[in-house]
Amino acid sequence: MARFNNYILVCGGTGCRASHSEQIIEALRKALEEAGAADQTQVIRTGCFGFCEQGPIVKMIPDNTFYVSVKPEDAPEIVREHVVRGRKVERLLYTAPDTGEHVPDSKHMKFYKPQMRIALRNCGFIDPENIGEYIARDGYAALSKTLQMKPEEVIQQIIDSGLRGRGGGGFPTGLKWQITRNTPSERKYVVCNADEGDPGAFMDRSILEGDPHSIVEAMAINGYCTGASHGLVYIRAEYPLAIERLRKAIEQARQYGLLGDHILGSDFSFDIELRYGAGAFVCGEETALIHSMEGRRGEPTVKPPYPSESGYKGYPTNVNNVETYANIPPILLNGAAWFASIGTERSKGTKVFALAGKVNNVGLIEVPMGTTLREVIFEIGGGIKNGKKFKAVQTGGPSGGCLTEKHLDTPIDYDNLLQCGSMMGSGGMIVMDEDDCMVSVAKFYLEFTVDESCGKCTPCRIGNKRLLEILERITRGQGREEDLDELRNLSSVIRDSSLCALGQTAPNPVLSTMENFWDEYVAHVRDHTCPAHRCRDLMSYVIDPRICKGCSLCARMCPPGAISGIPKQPYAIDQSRCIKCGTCLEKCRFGAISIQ
Amino acid sequence: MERINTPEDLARLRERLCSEMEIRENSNQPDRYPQIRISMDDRSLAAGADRLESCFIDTLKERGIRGIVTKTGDLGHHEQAPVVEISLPGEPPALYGKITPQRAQELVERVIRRRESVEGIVTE
Repeated sequence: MARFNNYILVCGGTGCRASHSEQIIEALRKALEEAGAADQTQVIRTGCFGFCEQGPIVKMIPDNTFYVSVKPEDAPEIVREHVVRGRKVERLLYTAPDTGEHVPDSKHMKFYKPQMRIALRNCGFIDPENIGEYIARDGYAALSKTLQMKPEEVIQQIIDSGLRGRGGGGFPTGLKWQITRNTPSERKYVVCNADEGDPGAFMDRSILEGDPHSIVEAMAINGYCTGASHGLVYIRAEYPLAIERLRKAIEQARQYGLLGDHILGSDFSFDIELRYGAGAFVCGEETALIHSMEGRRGEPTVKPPYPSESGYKGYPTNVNNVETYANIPPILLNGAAWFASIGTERSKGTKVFALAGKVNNVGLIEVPMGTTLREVIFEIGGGIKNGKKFKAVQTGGPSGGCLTEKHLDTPIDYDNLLQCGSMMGSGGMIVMDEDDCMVSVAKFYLEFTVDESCGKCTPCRIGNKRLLEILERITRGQGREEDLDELRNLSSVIRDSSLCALGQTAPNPVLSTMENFWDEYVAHVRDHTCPAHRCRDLMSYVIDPRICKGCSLCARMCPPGAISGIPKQPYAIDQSRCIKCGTCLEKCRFGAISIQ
Repeated sequence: MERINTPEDLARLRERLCSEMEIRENSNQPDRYPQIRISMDDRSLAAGADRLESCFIDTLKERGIRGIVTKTGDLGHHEQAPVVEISLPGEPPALYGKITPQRAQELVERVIRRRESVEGIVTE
């Protein structure tokens, strides 16, 4: 490998790639050639930096200058000014939303300071397609160490670390491995659940795109501990880049002898196969996932028996989430005590969250368990966009609930979130402001779960559909007060009798929004209004005749021509033709139009 | 690309590859390591400043010292070009002038390794 003096790291995650980060890389390489600096400066495509709102990201090493929203046309200037002359390109620096000032490097950013990147340790640091860089950072050292220990010892480390499943279930990982180990069978499987179905979640995707070897290594460790020599990764087909990176990583690992027969000279042989999902959310549920891999329809089956005892083709199968796996190598290298020293009493380590919605800093973050919601949203997230007021934060995806102002100082951990009426889930965190209608939010999540229901059990197939129908009526202004009781009763029945977690948790958004935003529901069903002005059918645009000057601008701009009047006299909106697009309100120079 | 047959092979490979990651690793903990900033103003460049980056990096490596070497815009004091700034962890930065490859090696040895006080550019 040639020796370089400095590096330019360019984010190669899906988000930045969609914004031409590949072309940025090409342009930088070309500009370096032309400046005669190509043998001193290396351009490296890395995984996700997490600062997705501001992508494409370009990071200069070693001074950590963080350039945001970079375009390929910026490349020559970056090379000319920064690489050659050591002068930062000011206009590409990140501007902090609270101070309005440039932040020169990532070490001083509020977005990064509270973060502790363990699962994401290599994302944004190494080239994910280069096994050498993974090895240089202690890659496969955990596997090497493991092969010299007894499987029970390794499992004990995982148990002692307190690691819990990061896919949403939160089941103690070490215990799961132990159960699989203790089930006698001549054949066992370890599976990586890379289906990541929650809308808006991309934690697993980023780990797979940015550090695929961490999963390969962790699965091999899992195989050794449980007695499996076959690994399967169930990855959703909608992640082509992650699939490509993982495929390359597996190929490289085989070439280096880190997968295959007699790994590192031991008696342990292990290999990994990829299996592709076909777009069903329910296949993130471990039994449905296993059936999908078996070539059957992706439907859950009753547990027990648990997959650890009887899973893929009837063999003991240990299913773990991507992020859970990503934590395994550091735990084995740094020790269980180290991991257990981070986090809260019953939730150890860190959690990766996909922070989205109405915050200034949208992206991927990793924080120790116990960090408060307030810190995540207002420090790391940079507060609510456009100076609006915080209303709620939804955690746990379609299975979770909404937390409000009064929950902001809750330390994030599995148990606290459950107590507040939500759950950790896989790590989605959607922030909402005063302009979001909580009834619509509940409807949105239910639309998703109804669409994704496999249909096997009646409570979910029919029950959730009825819940959705009621919410649709409510948001169309046809709600009745009895609907609220109906929603509650139906929800508890569905929760108690559905076969799998999709059905059981589908009513959560409804229950949680009803609990915390009861007034909003009442306004919808009793007064037929939407306080947040989101439900179209519950809104009327009205011209105030006392303010209207009759300038006719709104009438001319109105797409369906619903506004009429005589010039210089107050105009009026015909409600039957109004499509509630809001153009008139936007264009009126006198503030005469408002929403009722 | 060779097959890794034993844990020792892996450890040796890691040793070898580790040094390639050093610059990135050091930059990850900027408060921990000495920082050397080389001024790239016109006078310094004319006086050969662009060779100094490699020079400092090589010198640090030869002596097994970890540090962070960067180019910076303009440190002033052009009459003393090439100008260099060194900050040791926890201490205020100090400027040094008329840096040649030889003087660079001297600074690494005396200021960074031995933490000696060396006369640099005195600022009012």
